[in-house]
Order: sequence, then structure tokens, then C-alpha cells
Amino acid sequence: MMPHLKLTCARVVAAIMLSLLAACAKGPGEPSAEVELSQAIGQVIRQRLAPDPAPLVVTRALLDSQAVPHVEVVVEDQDLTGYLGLLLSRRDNLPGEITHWSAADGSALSFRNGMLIASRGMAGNLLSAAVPAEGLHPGPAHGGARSYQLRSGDFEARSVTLACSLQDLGPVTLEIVDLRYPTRHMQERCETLEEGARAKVVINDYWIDSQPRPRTGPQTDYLARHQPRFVRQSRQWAGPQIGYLRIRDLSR
Amino acid sequence: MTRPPVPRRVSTALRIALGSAAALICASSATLAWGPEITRDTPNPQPGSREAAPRFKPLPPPSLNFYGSAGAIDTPSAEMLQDGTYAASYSWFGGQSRYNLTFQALPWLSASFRYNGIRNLNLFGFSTYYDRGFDVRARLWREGRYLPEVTMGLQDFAGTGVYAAEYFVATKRFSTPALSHRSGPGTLKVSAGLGWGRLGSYGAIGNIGGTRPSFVGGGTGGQLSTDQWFRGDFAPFGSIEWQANERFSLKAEYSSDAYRTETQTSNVFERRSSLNFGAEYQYSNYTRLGAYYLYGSEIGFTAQFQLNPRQPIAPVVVPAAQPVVPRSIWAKTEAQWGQAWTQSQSTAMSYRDQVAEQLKKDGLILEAIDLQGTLAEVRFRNPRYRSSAQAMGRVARVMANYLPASIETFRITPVQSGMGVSTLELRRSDLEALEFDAEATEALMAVAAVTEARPLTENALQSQELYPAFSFSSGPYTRPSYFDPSRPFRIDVGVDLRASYAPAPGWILAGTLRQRLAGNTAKGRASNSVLPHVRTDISSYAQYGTTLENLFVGRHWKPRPNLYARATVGLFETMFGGVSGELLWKPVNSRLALGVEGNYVVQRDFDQRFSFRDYKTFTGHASAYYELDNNYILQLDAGRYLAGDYGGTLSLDRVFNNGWKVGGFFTLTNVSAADFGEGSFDKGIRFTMPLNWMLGQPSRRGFGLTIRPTQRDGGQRVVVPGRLYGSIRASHRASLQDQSARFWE
Repeated sequence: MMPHLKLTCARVVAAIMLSLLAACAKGPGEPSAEVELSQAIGQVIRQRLAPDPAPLVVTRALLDSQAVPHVEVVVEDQDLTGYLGLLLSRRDNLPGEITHWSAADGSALSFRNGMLIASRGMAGNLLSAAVPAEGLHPGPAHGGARSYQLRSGDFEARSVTLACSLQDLGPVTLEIVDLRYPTRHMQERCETLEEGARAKVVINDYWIDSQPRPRTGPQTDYLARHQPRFVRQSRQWAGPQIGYLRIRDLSR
Repeated sequence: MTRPPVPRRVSTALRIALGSAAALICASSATLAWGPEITRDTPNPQPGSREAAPRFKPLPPPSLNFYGSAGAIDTPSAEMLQDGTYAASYSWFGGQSRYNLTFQALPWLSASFRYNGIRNLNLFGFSTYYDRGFDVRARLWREGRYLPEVTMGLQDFAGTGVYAAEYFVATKRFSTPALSHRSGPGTLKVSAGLGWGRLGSYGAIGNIGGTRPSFVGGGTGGQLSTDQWFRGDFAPFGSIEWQANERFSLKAEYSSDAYRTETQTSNVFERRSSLNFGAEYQYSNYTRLGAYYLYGSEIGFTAQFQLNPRQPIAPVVVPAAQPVVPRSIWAKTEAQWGQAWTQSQSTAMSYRDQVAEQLKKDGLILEAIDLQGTLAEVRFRNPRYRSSAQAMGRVARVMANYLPASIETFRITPVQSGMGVSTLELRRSDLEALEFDAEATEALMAVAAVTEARPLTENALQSQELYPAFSFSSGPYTRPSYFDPSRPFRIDVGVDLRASYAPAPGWILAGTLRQRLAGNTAKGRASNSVLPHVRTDISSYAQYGTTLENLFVGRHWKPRPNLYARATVGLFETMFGGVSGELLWKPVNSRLALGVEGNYVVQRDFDQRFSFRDYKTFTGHASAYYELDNNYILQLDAGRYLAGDYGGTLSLDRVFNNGWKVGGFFTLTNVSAADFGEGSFDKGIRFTMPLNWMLGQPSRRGFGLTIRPTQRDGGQRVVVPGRLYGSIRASHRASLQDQSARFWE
């Protein structure tokens, strides 16, 4: 009985492997789950086999040659670094200047006066956020309530509301890709308000550039006109899934 | 109810066992942590670290007993699993194996299905006795500061009832000190209960309603055993579980199950003691393993897997959509806001082509576009995204960025099988204003209207490249079959070649060629059904390796507002072909849908080519569908089934937004229990696991499974490709509302 069973198992596994390899789809019709799964497995294998891309060496010369400003974003928990270019800068009915930055891999971040209000193209996206923006004041203008709408597993939004206090930690000089910037370090400490449970804490840090953005050069025309001072560097929480992001503005 | 005290003898024994095991765990827990990271609250996280910030991941779920419900070893506790959890577990001791599947249907209600084998029972004509059973558990009240959690359970409450038992059980949790500074505090769970049936068979302390009818195997089963519930002797049972840290736990229990059938009627194992002991290890958030010493004579083990649809294996990542660029940024001149463009057909066509091109980047297909001076309607197909709301959000962005500035009203219409299913109507200025709103989703849904899809105007521009369309795919298939007494699980695998041809919107000609590569379904048992063999000739059909699985012509159309129609002719499935027609009434904003379907079918020959057997019949149903709260869908069908029997089917499914689906159904017809055979009537459970949940990339597909305890011929329906309800509902108001958070993603 057992040898027969083993033989059947082996044949079943061999057959599945064989047919997975044979999977393909053409035309506008929707392929079956089996075909989609096979294609996904194929993709993973190809990605595994592909050599790692050479790490990008960012120099001031390279940055100066870019048509749009860029930010460097580090996803702390995954130790991932990405570079996002400015795609759109605009206003809406709420206070603050919105900037939308995107990367070649399909991820994107949006900020209001330098405070993260949305992430896209990542797992567990920050769908939207209410931030303490006021006029064109860079970073949080005051303490108080903050709220996040976050993606959770069943395609639904979950809300996190925090109460924040703002603290000025004094002047700090930053060095970003060969250039030094005098900044002021502001820290926002936020806590959950659930009764009974231990308070959860989020700490966002902002380094506000003490000097206005230079008004020359191709990278800065729009931002320079609209936002005289800005967040040069920050470390902000983007939700339980993404964790903390470290963001540096690489423009001059 | 009074809580029965745990006998003194037991508590002394437990103390000794726990004491020595605690020392063992203390010694080992500091060094042993084998397996992936487990989500637990860190004792003292550093402010500013991810651990200190709010977290959504739930804590590891309660441990399961040998019956797959929350509990100790062979006895239950009062705990519930997390809402929506699927728990699959396997347990084995003394030649008895149990495969359990539990679904936590509501926060206070769970249901289990079990397949079990008792080796060397040597009763009812079987050496190994296989049986299936259902359990249901309901929490009566939650744990309070002083009050314990209390649950009532019915175990194996229908069918032949080899494991039939009923119980009330109470559980109280206590916090215990942390074993090391790195681990969090432990938990001690103390449970005590009163059981009837199996759980009242040892150490009974009382009796209600006299003698309980005893278990007789080999009957047809399938009837609710209401005459037995909470009847006969009742006995106390109790357990204690100490979760020392996030990985290790120890269990001990006093079982009131005498195992009479196994130890007295037959000789499966020897029951020397009522005390069971065990140790469990949480390997990952999903997986838990346990080893035990039971009834003073047997070694046992369990493997427990708990999946929660809300916790995807890989969360779906979709590349960011293009941001809406407000017209105020790019339309600076008055000419740009004018409607002169409406005069030129070629300009309109260039807009159509631009929109089609952009939609393609998002994996969507433009069917038609209707451009008027201030209004535009886009009809599109969505082969990519599970949620219609997400596809609509992407279409809206493309429209906002590529259509002339004068257009203020957007109408977005998903198309399914050539039919416009619903229309989301939006103002473009709302779209521009709300993308970065603090509550972008809520704000947008408040100003969007979901309406009936209207017929397109004559001026609408159809996509040029869509019809006729030819599609082809090849890929693996699997066909499992369950619960044959000689081999509980059989499977065939092979390759399907599918091709379809769509000459015009709503029309389809499709077929599937199937080649089996391996499998053992052909060795299944022959049918002993006294009804026409409409479903039980599985093994006869499985004798052929190269088959034509289906070949049909179908048409979908919308004869009137809110009314959808389907007509299909051909070979529908492995066993039947014929003609089929269906009408569905489903207003966009209604939770209720009504449908009627009629089929005249002929049974296909076993070789599954173009010939037929002699059996012909009419089968058809009137159906009512209702969307309840919390994503439950209730469906009631009444009509004539394949074997010519009349009756009705009641089904209840829970459909998660991410595509997970779980449900159950039963069918009662005018076929008697004796004629129906084993199981007495048709019933089963079904679930679907979506690909996007496993792969983390957008997909509309999933793997579905329907498990019937026994496959018989009564209460069976024909499978017709392209049934209406599921695909229509997905783009209607309730579903769009549920998935609204996807709109901006």
C-alpha cells in the first residue's frame, strides 16, 4: 500500500511542477487562479536568479544633474533605501503645501508642510492623515490631535488617533551629501488615548532648515516660490506595517 | 450554572507536574527560541521604536484541543478564537487521528468540521472507523474582572455522533510573572466545565432526563441529534494551562471522557487515568505544536495552524497611481476651459486613445468612452483588482489628468461580461479637492453617487481593439475528492488548455481541454445510490485522462434597468450539458436580489467528449440573495434539482473584502433519508482563499474548495459557467462601500 501511495504522491507533485512550468496566458480573458499562481512563482524565481542591482552612489554632481528635487527615504525596519523625485506640488482647501514624491519602483509619499500624509505602493499604506499644519510653517505648527487612516489586512481602513506635544530641541547642523545645513530640531511626541491599555507612543522628529531654499537652479523654482523654509530631514512614523521612515531632502 | 470544583487529588498532581515543568521552562526559555518572530507586546519598548507605536497585528491566538476548538488537550475551554480565524489542526493519540477545521464565524460563535479515523476499532464492518462531524460553540458571556468567560458547546451534534458531547465551560485567565526580563508576563488559564454525552461518561455527578441513546455507528446519520443534547449523565472536567512566555506552554487536565466505545466495546487503547499532560510550542504566529501524555498510557501530538483573513501572508502592494493634477495647475487659458474640442471627432478619438493607453498601465481595459461638453463616461473592464472601488479610483485619476478641463462630471462604469454593472458618479472638482484630505476616503464617498449603469449614448466611442477578442491560457488543475472509506483523500492533477472567443460585447464562445497527468480518483468506490447517478459516478468519469471539460456559447445582457440576463448552450461541466437561462434582478443600491434560472440538461458520457447518456432532466431554481451586515450573504434557492427532487437550499457565506470567503449550506428535498443514503441530506462547507492574500499582488482570482461530508445524488445542482450574482454584486453599492478605502490606493 505504502509504495503505491508514495508513487502517486511523487507523480502528483511531478505533474503539478510540470504543469506550473507550462502555464501561460494570452489575450484579454482573465486567466485562472492556477495560471496566475504559476506566473507569480515564475516571477519570483526570475527575481531570485537576477543579480542584485549595483548600489547607487549618490554624489552632489549626480543630484545637481537631476531635473527635479529628490528625497532619500530609509525604511528603518527593512533597512531599505529609496530615492523619490518630486512629481507634484500643490495646495488644497486645507492649510499647507502638499508635495508628492514618487520612485521608479511604484512607491510614493505625500507630505503637507513636510509632514507625511500618505504613502502609496507599500504594504500597509498610510491612506490619509490629519496633521497640525498652519500656513506655510514647516513641520508641525503646534501640538494637539493627530490622526492616521491606515490600511489593514482586509482591505479596510483603520484609524489611529494620537495626542501630541511639540518640543524644540535646539539647533543642529546636518551634513547631507557634502553640504552642511543649519537646522532646528523639533520633536513631536504623540500618545494614544485608549483607556486602560498602556499608552502607545509615536515620536516624529523634524529638522527644519534655518535658511530659505535658494531661489536659483532648476530644482527649486516651484518649491522656492511657495515654501520659503522647509523640513530638511525628518524621521516619521508611517503606520504599524511600514514603521518609521527617515527622510532627507537632497536638494541644495 | 455552578462551577464544579476540581477534585483535590487532581490539583495536587497538577501542582507537582507544573512545578517540575516550570523549572524546565525557566531553564530552557532563555536559550531556546526556535522559529520566526512572534507578534507580542514587548515588555518595555523604547519610545520612538516601532514596538512602542500602535500595532494592528493581533496576539497569537488561543491554543486548540484535540477537537480543534480552543481548549486544553481532550477537553474544551471557554475561549474563542479571533473573529474570522480559520483553524486547521491535526491531532493523534492511541491510533485515533482527527483532522479539524474550525471557523470563528462571529466574535462569539464558532463552527468546526472534523474528519476522524479510529484505527483498530473493528466495529460496524470497518477496521479503521472513519467519520465526519460538526461542532458549534457559542460564548455566553465574556470574561470580566471577576467573572470567567463562559461558553456552551455542542460537539458532533449531527450525524452518527461518535464524539457527541455537550458542555458548559468557564475559563478565567490570570497573569503570571515574567520568567526573564526579556519575555513578557505569562498567563495562567483555569477552566472548569460540566459535560454530557462523551464528556459525561466518566465520574458522573448527576443525571438529566434518564438514559441517553448510545452511539450506533454505520447508520446514515445526518440528522440533528436533538433527542440527545444535554441528556443523561453529566460529569465535571477541568484544565489548567500555563503560557510561560510567548513560545512555551504547559497543559494539564482532568478528562471526563470514559472512551467507552474505544476501550470497552473495542480495544483501541487502554484508559488508565483521567489525567492528561502536555507541552506546546508556538513556532510562529500561525503554527503551534504540542506533545502529550494521555489517559495514563498513550503519547499524543497536535499540529495547529490558525489563519486569519485579516492577516495576509503577504499584504497586497499595488504601484502608486498617478496623483490628480488639479486643472488650476495646467489649464491657465480660457481656451483650455472651452468646449471647442467637442466639434472634432478626431480630437475625441485622441482623448479616447490616451485614456485607453493610461488605463492599460493600470491593468484596466477601456471598453467605451462617452465625451460630452461637461460630462464624460468611461466604461472599462477590470481583470486586475479585487476591489471594484480601487479600479474605479484609478479610472477617475486617469480621467482627471487626461480629459479636457471643461468636463466636470465623471461617470465611471465597470463592465462585466459586456454589461455595465453600476456607475460611480463624481464631480471632478471633488476629486481634485479631496485626494489629500485628512479623511480622503470618507469625504469622497460622501460626495459620490452610485447609480444604475445607463445605456451608452449613440455618440459613445467604442474601443477599436477589443472585439473580436481571442484569449488562450494553459495551466494546471487539481480535482480533489474526499472521504472514501478506503482512502479519505484522492486527487487528480493535470493541465487545462482554455480558449475563448468574444465576437462582441456580452458574447463568449469558450472551451477547456483537460489532460490528466496523475491521480487516483479513478480508483474511487462505485456508486451505490438508488437515485439517478447525477453526481456519484465520479470514478467512472475519472477513468478517462483526456477530456473536454467544457465547451459553450454564452451571452450576457441587460434587458431592462436593474435586470441582468444570461443564456448558455453547450457542455457546461464534466457531467452535464444542455441549455441554461438566468434572470437576475439586482438594483444597485439594494441589499436584496432575486433570481430565476432554468436548465434543461443531459448527462454527458463518461468519456467527456461529445456524446451523452440517457439521463435528461429539467432543473431550475428561484433564488433570493440578501446582503446582511458584517459581509454576510444569505442565499435561499428553491426548485428542482438534478435527480428530479424538489426542495430548497439555504446557504450563508461570509465574504471578506480581500476575497476570503467561507460559508456553509444545506439542502432539503423530497428524497427520503433512506433513499439519499449516508448523510441523509446534502450539506457542506466551502471556502475561497484569494490569490492576492497569498501573493501580495493584485489579483481577482482565488482557490475555492467545497467539502461535503458525503457526495450523494440528492439536492445537486448543475454547474453553469458565468452565473450572474457574484460578479454583479461586486460592483454594487454595498460592496463599493465596504471597499471604499481602496479608492485612493
